[in-house]
Amino acid sequence: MPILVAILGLLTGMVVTGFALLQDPFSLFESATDTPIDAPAQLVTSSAIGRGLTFYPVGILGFEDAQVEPFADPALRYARLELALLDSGDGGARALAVKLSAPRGDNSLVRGRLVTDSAWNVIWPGHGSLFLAGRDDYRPLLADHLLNAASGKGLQGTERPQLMTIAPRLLGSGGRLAAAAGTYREYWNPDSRVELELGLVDD
Amino acid sequence: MTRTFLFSFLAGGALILAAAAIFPLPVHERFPSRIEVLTNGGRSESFVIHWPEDRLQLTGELDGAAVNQADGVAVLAPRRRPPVSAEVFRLRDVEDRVIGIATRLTGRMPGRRGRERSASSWTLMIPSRGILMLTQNNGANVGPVRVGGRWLAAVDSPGFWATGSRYRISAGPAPGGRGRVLAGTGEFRSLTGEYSEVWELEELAANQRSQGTILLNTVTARQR
Repeated sequence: MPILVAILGLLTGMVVTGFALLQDPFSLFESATDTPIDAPAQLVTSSAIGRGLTFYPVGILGFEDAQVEPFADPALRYARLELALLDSGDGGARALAVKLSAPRGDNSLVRGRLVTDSAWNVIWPGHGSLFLAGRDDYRPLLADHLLNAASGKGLQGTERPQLMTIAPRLLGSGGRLAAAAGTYREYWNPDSRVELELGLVDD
Repeated sequence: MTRTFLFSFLAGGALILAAAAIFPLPVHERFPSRIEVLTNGGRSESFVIHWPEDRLQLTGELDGAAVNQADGVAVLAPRRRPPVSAEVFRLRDVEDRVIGIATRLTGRMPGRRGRERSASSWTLMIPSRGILMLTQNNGANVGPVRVGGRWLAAVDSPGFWATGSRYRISAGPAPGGRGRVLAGTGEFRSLTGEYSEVWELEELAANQRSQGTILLNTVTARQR
């Protein structure tokens, strides 16, 4: 009987601590906040291709995805590259965008910090170009996927988009957008697609 | 019994914390930075790209964009507007070690008085250090060229190297015809400055396929 109680205690302790880590009880770091994109000009991802570290949540832990072509160079092993087409909300010209991202060196499972640094460079024919930078928070995604796996649903997210972007910033712009202000956010969609929403206001 | 449960509960928690602490999360390989400190307190760092071998190919298709797989140039050519392109390269330090990824977006941008000019924007990501963002006006149209129904990178287009084998591409907006280092993240956070982009031809084959080097020389200082 004492052995059974000890095993039960051990397992309970492991599950409760693991759950607590995934929920980030310490809240030492900022997390994604949902800023409404309410701007006259909007760009939203319509299609994208990528290479490098998988953006599937377990990729942030260093697990490689056989479906994704990695970079062979040691310095690029955990880098990710994405090329995307963005649709404008009014049916006007589409934009071409490139995203570069890589996990931060100070990520920590104990502190619940699983973040990538990311930067977007967008070129919009007839309008101008934009530089965006922020961080992608993978902890809520990973927690969502692992909790679903633990409840027998398999390693998948819940059927609602998850916000990923922390501290989004518009760092620079050119052409007619030189005086533009704006913000952006990225969502992880249930179909395992990451979607960018970018809103711009002309100053 | 209660004591046994509590003790094993704490042991289970400690086990998970220890496993989380020693779990090997991704760590980027880092090479020593080749930075020259300038007498005015700024810093100079140069980056090198060799074409065609440093061009990175992306597999897959973007809806509506001609992604030229052979040359690694993605071209978006909307109606009644000039085309824009995206290129991706491996980025090297001056000792020729691959340290990151560089992307260049090029297109004709509307200017202040409605005149269009060729402009490029670079994003340089060194995973172990951070991201640097650069922008410039181009001295020539270095965007993709359509030849025989196919988009080609400017360096491989007919006649591009007819007038020389070393072109300085940067033509402003910073003084001296240099481009601007706009912003950065990580180690490059709060750095701004100027840069120049130079293309050097090394070999030109009879079919116009070229081989050469792009040099990006940055001079930056921390914003006060």
